[in-house]
Amino acid sequence: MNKKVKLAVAVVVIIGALGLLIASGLNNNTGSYLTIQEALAEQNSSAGKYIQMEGKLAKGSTTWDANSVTLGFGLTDGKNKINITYNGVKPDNFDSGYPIIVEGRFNGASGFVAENIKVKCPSKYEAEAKKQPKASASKQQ
Amino acid sequence: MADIGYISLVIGFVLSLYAIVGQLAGQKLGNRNLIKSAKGAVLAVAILATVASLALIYLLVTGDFSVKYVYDYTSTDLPLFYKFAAFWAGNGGSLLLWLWVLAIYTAIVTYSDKIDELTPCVSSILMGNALFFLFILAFVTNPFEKLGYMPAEGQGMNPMLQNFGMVIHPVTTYLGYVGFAVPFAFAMAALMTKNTDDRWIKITRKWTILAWMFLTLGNLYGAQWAYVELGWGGYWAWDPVENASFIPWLTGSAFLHSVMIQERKNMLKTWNVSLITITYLLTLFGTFLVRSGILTSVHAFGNSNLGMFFLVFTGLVFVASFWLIADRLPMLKGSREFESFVSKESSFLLNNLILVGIAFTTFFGTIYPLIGELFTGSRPTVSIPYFDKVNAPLGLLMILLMGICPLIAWRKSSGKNLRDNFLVPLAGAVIFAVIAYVLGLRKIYALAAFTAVAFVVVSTLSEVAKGTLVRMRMTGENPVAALGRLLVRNRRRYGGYIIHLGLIMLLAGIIGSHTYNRVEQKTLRLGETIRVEDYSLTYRNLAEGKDGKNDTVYADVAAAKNGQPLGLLQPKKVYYPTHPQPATEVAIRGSLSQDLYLILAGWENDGRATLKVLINPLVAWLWIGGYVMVAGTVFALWPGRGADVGPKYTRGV
Repeated sequence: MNKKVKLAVAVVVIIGALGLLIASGLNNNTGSYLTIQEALAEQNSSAGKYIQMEGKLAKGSTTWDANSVTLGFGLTDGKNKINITYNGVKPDNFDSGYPIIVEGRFNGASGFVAENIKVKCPSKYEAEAKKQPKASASKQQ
Repeated sequence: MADIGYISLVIGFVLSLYAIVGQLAGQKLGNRNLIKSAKGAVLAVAILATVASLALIYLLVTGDFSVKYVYDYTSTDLPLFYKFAAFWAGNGGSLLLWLWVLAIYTAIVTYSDKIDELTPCVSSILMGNALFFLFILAFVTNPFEKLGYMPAEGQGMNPMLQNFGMVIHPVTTYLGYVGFAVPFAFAMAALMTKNTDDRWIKITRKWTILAWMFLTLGNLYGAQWAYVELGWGGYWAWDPVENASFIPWLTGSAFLHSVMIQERKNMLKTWNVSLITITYLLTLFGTFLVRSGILTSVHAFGNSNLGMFFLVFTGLVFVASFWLIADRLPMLKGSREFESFVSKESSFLLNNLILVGIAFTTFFGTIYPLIGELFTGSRPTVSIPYFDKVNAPLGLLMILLMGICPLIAWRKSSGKNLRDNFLVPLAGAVIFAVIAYVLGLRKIYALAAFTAVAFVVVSTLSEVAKGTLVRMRMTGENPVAALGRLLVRNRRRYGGYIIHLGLIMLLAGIIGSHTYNRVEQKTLRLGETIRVEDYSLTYRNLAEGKDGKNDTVYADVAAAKNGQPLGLLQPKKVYYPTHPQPATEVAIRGSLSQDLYLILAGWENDGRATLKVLINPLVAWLWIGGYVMVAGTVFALWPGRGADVGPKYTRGV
């Protein structure tokens, strides 16, 4: 074999290995990004599946059990609502009305159990609209 | 003042058009006066960008709330420091910063007298990019937009941005991002003018390394900022925004290595041109990802149409540059082939494949939701373990390679050469592994990774020691003088080794904090103690305090490690007057071996408080390693004797 062929073989092997690595990495670590409505519809069929949702905190829905460090709340898109349980503490800006990203799974009787809650970092680049004066014709939400 | 700023942008837009057309036409027609006048336009654009930037800074610092940007991001009580930093807090201002840096870089390149017939072309390409930013600033997201009235108070800056990181992270990241435009422009100009030797690489080497250094710092400060400010205990979450600046760093690192092969052996020309093009495209594409809001990120970037402009511009640059590369492909054929698998150049090639591999897997994971949506209609998500799982083995290979590369020779290594060179580092690594195992490092991945780290350290240091011994024998110098002269006379090489050692420290921090981290959260009564590993934390008191103009609620937590008191930690929540929700301020008690990271998560009416305790091993080494990398870069770049490249290796020498 000349060196060019050897080199080509090496490159193919490496690219193949990379492909395998990606495939195995994706295997257990992907989920679905669902709207709250979709998530509710698939509640039974998608038990145990990793789901990411974005919504807002339903007003007055927060419960907090300090002893077991368990947070409960409703995530809403304005119409539909899913009750979320999270074994952890409130992230910063949780009650600010900023969009909340919830990642986790439907878990039978316990409803939706979140593994991760993130509040969208507000006004990093764009200011929040509700506090903006009417005079500024901002398109942001 | 707002008008001055805006008018500067509009005039800049027109002048940048003239600078491009004038230089290209002047070059074509051989009209030196036209080139000269167009070069003047480049300088004018740099001055106008400076005027616009200073105008915005002036408006921010003086608090002119009739300007929407000032109103959105500052308030009267904001410290001057952050009023100034608000310059890049929003879309318009941060793009103005980009333009400013780009315009100044372009003026430096245009007026640098080292470069001759490439200059008009390079300058035009850079101006083409500036033109895009001027267009965006003047017509899409004008930072000088007025509200039409004067509010009494601004909205203030988001508390999370009020951190030292805000001052340094965006600037360093941009200096890096924009810096890659220069080697890219030179690569393209070389192709356009059919210069296919490695002159463009030599000219831009310092630009590339500086850009790389700033991007390194930018990523590092981003991580540090997240770590101390965001209060979730980590420094990296594979968020699209983070990946957007990590991916070009990887391809840029690959480029820094692969150009050495072209310099030494006149090979890999197409690869190098492609790599720098991809790196530059990734900085643009990253900006598209970040500004379009197309991916779900914790950072809300507003769903502005700005992303669309970046996507179109990225597409244009992509098509134009790869069309040019394809067209010049026959000229780019290297004059040499690989002589052996076991050679320094093939280890460089492998290094490139791994770096580009990590870049690709990260890129793929980042845009996978978009690809999935395109083909299936529903959007999949990729979680953090994907990135960790895929990149950990690649990272491990990269570590090993950093240890192997200095041990093998250019062209071809003989068996004896290999045995001699590998003996000490391998023995060192084995000894380390045994000791670490005996001392209790039992997690197999951590053990493997730290052993690889030890291998690189021993391999690098033994190379330095060998060089020093040779020098002592030849010159009779004492060890210190020999070591010093060895390093200083070969700054490029040993600067690289210093950077490797810094990176290894940083990687050790990543390995440690990913394999032996601990998290506990608990609600404590007053006087109650929580034990986490060697630490015991006693909740003593909950109180209100003042932090400048902000109110705080803090907990007094007495910490002890193995019974030795560490003093009082005060994790708190800070209430900013301009912000409805409190912000977490963590208490960190750091040491070289581990950080104790304490969050006050909340409290109850009866005085109980919920604490979240994290033990993050070796995190300090991330920051130390980062600074060592920067020191190594500066060492390698320092001008003067010893900063030159080694000899060109030709067949038959």
